[in-house]
Amino acid sequence: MKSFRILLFVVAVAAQIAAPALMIRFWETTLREGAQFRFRIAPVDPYDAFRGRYIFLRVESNCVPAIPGVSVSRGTQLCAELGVDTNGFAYFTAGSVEPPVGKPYLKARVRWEYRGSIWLDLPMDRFYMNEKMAPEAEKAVWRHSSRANQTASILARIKDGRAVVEDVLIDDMPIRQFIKDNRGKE
Amino acid sequence: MSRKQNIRWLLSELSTLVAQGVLPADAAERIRRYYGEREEQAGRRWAVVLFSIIGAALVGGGVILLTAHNWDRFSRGIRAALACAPMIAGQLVAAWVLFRRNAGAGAREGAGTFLALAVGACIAIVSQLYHLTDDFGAFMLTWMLLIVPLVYALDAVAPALIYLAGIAAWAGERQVMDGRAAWFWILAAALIPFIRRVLRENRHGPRAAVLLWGAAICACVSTGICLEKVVPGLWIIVYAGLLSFFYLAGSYWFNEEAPLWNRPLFIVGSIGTAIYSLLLSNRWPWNDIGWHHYRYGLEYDRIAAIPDYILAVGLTMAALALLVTSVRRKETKRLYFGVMPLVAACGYALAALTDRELAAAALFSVYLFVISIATLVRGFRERRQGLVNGGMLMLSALIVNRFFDSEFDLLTRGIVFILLGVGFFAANIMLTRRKEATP
Repeated sequence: MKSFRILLFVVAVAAQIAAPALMIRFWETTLREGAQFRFRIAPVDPYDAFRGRYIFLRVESNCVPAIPGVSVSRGTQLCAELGVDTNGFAYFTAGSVEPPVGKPYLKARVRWEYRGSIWLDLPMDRFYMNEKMAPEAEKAVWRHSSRANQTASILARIKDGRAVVEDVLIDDMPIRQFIKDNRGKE
Repeated sequence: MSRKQNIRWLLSELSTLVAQGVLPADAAERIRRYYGEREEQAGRRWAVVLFSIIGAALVGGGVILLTAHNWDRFSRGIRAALACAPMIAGQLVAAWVLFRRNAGAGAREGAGTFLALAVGACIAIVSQLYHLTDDFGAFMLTWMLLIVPLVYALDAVAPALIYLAGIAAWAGERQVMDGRAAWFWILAAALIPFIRRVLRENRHGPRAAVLLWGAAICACVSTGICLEKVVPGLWIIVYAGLLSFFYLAGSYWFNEEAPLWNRPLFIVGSIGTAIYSLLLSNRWPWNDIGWHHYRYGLEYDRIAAIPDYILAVGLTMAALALLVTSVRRKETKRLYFGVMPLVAACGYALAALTDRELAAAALFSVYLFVISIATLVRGFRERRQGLVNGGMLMLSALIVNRFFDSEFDLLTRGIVFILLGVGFFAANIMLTRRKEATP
């Protein structure tokens, strides 16, 4: 009995270590080897009691044209092909069920389909920050994502359809740096 | 009388027995020392276990808050290490407890609680590190699967309770997202061997009590969450079976002399039956139920509804099997509460086949009236104040409920309320006098 309990404990400990280790390895690989894209954003700031504070991010361009002959429902996973506009911001050019060959894409779930467009729930909806800095960051992002002053963006790395938010930029500056430099100025 | 009361009575009698020459003084002293020390030790042991669990939960919670602070100054590597550090520390402590001979329950429960919380914190903080989108279901499932072996490895109840709460939360999320919450039962089945072992060890002990309280409450909550509700009103049959099963199992396998705290199935089953009967004595639960109102649509899944039928049939059959056993053992007092699945089935058939909701509600009003009177009578016969008060409470709840159901004027309501109050006082005074009159 004792040896069974020890064996079970060893298996549990191995799994407990493996789970975060695999997560770290997977996302580090994406950060290291993924292609870099910038997305325009719109902000809000909820509070997640379990994970600290974060800025809620909403990518401005988050829909793809409807796919002819394919009906999708809420929650269906699609591959959204990525393109870059003349200002250097990423947008979605097309959607497909299977991953496109040789083109960058992002896996995302369908939110709804309406009038020839499929709206997506993108896996880039938050950026965690120190709880003191997050409210300041939220205000800064809000000020810099209006129609008149749209200089806030998400910097993300994308590999094999998976995305990691690398940073949030304001005026091409990492948000933490921007807040430190502009404290008291704005 | 409970075991503790028996011991107290025995200890109080010792001086009389010695004075009357029935028992030698040294034998009386040995009895006093034996029972006094055992009670004291048991109390001390459980205080240690309780403090270990609370302490571990507080430290674990503090660690979660500290790591959630998001230490911007540190690099990602250091933050990843910080996220894993409490878990590694918890694993080392748990390993020390496991390899140590004769590790106490306090150490096992404390180590298990801390490690279970630290594993959750680690996964959450790693998700935070990479700004991952919140997937509560995947997070909960991963966390729970990683901690369930600790229940067996450390032989600890506290991680089992965390696991039960976690899989119930996961089921809630799954039901909202895709309606596939029935997997909850498979996850819950992982604890069956542990519950069996704890019950075999000592079914009246505190470990069994705490575990069964958690399991019974979790089952009551999760049953409602997991039902697909394709056949309207099937929950009436399912819950009637569940509560009766708890009541009969609690009566059948647990000593009646044990304190109520140590009989969670009986308490959840009997109080649940009373509240449930009160609920079903209203008209609204019986509206538009049965096969004629079968639900179609994207949000209803026929396959996912299969566990509903299995639960309805399985729980009813299990409760009826225990009911038949009670009849065979001539324990007729169990019939009143135990017969609820049959009453629910009759009510369901009545409402579903004939659309007579009022008749089904009336059936449960009569049923609640009968079990109230039966409890009251049994309380008087056995001179148990708790039962008398319980019976009065059920009766009052039924009357008050019917009262608000109908349009009685204020004067009538006032008189009935006063009569009910006087009834309570009279019953208690009568019982107290009868108890005092008993030599």
